[in-house]
Amino acid sequence: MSTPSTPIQALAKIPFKNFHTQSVPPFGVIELVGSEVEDGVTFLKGTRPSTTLRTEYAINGPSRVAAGDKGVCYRQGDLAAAYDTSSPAVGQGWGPRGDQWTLSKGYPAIVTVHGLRNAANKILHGALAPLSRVMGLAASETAPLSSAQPGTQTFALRVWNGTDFIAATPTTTFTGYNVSTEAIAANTLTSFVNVNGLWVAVVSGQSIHELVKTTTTHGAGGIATTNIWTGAPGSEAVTSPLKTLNATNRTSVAIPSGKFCLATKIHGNWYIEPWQC
Amino acid sequence: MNPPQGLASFPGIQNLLAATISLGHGISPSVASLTIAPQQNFSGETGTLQLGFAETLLEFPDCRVDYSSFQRNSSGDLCRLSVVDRRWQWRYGQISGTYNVWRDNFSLQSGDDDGADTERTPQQLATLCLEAMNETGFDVSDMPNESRPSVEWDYDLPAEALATLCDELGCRVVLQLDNRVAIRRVSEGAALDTTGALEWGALVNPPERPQAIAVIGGPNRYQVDFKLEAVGLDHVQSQGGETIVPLNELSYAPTSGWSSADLPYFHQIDAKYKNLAQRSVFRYYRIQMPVEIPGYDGPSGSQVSRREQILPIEDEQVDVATENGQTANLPAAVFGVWYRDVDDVTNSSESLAPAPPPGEGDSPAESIYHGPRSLDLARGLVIFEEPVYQNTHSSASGGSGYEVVLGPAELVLRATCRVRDPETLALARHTRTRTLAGASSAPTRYLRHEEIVLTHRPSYSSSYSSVDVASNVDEVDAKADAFLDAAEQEYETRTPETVRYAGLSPIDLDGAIERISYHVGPEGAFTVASRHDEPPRVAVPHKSRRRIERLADFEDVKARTTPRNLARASKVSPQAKLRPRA
Repeated sequence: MSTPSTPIQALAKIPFKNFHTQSVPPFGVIELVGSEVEDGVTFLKGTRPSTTLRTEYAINGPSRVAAGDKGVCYRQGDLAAAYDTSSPAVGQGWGPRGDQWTLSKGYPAIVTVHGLRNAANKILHGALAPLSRVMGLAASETAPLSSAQPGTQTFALRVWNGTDFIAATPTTTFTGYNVSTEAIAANTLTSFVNVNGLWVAVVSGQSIHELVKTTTTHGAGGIATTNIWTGAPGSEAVTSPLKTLNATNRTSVAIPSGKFCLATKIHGNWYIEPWQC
Repeated sequence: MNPPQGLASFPGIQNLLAATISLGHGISPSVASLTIAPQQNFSGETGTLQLGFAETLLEFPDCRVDYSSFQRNSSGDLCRLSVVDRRWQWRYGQISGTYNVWRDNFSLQSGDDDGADTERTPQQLATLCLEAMNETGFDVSDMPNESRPSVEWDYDLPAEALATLCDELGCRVVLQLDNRVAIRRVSEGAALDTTGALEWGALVNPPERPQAIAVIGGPNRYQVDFKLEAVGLDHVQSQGGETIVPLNELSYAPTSGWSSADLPYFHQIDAKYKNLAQRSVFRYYRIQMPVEIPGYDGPSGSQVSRREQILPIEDEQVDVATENGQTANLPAAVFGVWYRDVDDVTNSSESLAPAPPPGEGDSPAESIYHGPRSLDLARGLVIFEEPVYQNTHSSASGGSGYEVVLGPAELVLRATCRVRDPETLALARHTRTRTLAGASSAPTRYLRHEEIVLTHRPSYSSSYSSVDVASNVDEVDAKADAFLDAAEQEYETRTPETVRYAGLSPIDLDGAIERISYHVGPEGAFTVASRHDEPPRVAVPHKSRRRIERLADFEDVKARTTPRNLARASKVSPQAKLRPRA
């Protein structure tokens, strides 16, 4: 992998102040948590990435910045950045990870890798861009838009391990906003985009039919929670993590527990009809 | 048989009673004084003045009446006037051209590269002048032809250009009796024939020799690798101004040093000093003192300890390069150990070493700083537009880690300076001295030639531990010797003599026979020839005449070089600076 040549000095150097108790290492990733004005100069307030996902990050310059000291950072452009482990490959997205100053593979991508600058010291070269999209998953359903108010939920950050979107370690959370007219089912892997500093869920292509299986007797005219099943025909299985929906039985018969049903969304409401009764 | 009568004539003169003409060296016309019978009307202007006696007829064509010389008698009739010989025409014409251009490495631009062939011998230069004066049949073969005097003629008067050339080469312009121009060497020429002379006078006039003559060149130029120190601007509390002090002596220097400065903002600095820091810290570098000046030999050898001895420096090197066919000094260069701020945390080089001269080394030196900067020549400062520093962290030279810790860059300014004596502040100049035989105890006569410049170019070892110095002393001495040769002629022992002959003796002027007077009148005719002597009662001596001519030329130049004209000339002149003369 060749080492690209980039005029670092051409990048805009943004003054910041280190609000963390540790010094910011050279080329370390900084979480931006606000700003303050000192002697008429506005400084970004920088700290070590935490377990609460934010929307703004930066990369420190080549010099170490002691705790409480002032330094310069970069917000955008091709630059050097420190990473933790593994071997960055061209095109990969690397991002901030809770409780560390280095970028981590598959974490919310703020740097697209161009190459390695110094493998021994774990410095990559890449394009820094604002964080615009993350993946998350909530343990509970996220309510749909109500009037003009989005539904909110605490989502756990999911990161790409090369095969799956898995939970970030340490667990990192953010508040997700649902502006669709449909609720986001619990444990649904959801994409979020940064809108006005909010992580807004991108909900599209939702099915209006689900295969469900009752877990309790579902009386005629009653509403109950059912488990969603998925998988190839003949080898369907309950979703994992489990996804459920609340559906209404509008038929004149009670549906026993343990029966497969077809759930259909009509006017935003789920209705079930039994297949085995 | 009647004795022969003297005859003189000039167009428009009805009765010319007597005429005397005194011929001398140079480009100024000789004057003939005519005494005539009172005459009311005179319309003559130019024509041939004829003097005759017996079988001899001397003709002076294209003479012109000097109207300011008219004398009238009490009746108002014209009775005396002067005419000047044809050299009055030499006040006109022009010559332009730049010849014998000496490159900055003291080689002659003679068409061996893409540039014009400027090489011309002195005889060729004299020929150009004489042709511009519309002269034909002239003789320049006597001129010394070895040197290559540098000239830059720009609509100059050709006669003055020729005279100046002759002055430099120890020659004189002579208008011979056959109406042809010749260039003769000073003091060299025929002896006067005293056979049949009416009078002969000679005296011993030993020259007033100094003990030596010397050519003083322009201030010596020394190329030096000046080591630079990081400095910064600080307030002068008592004066409210700014001063320059070393970085670590700045009143606002951080207690922990500059290693973690947040370049380029310096927000760690007290607000009232922040502007000074932003402007100067890691941007101002000053020549470090004392400094070794290779080739200089002062009271402390090559070491110079005060900046005033070398300031202002020049913004170029003694080294040269050829570009667009012109060989010129390279601009000053800055190189050393500095953080490149690209790709990694390494510096431009691991240790301070001389940048290779152009054309040497395998590749352009990485250590040369090509970023924007300016030179404050008067203060010996290099001022960078961006902070320039080095990474002092071990990772810069392959150690563990990967970070930048700021420190002053180790920089060198390769430029040229002149050197002043530490006590007198006199500039060091090259002197080429020649002791004169039979000299007195009179002090040395110094001939100043600013265009002859001794230069020194050092070659440092890789660690700056030793140095070899190359100079152009051989070329400089050769040029100085040409001037000394010409000057030495003035101190040759001569025997001034004057011989008076009956009748008109057609004797030509040469380098030794400096003046000849012919007189024709009712009493007859006689000739007076002077060798190694110009009778002051008869004519203005050649030296004085040249002073007058040069002064006239200077006034003309002054009139042409108004500030506006100078500004215009500086934009178009192909020779932006003085070139050495041969």
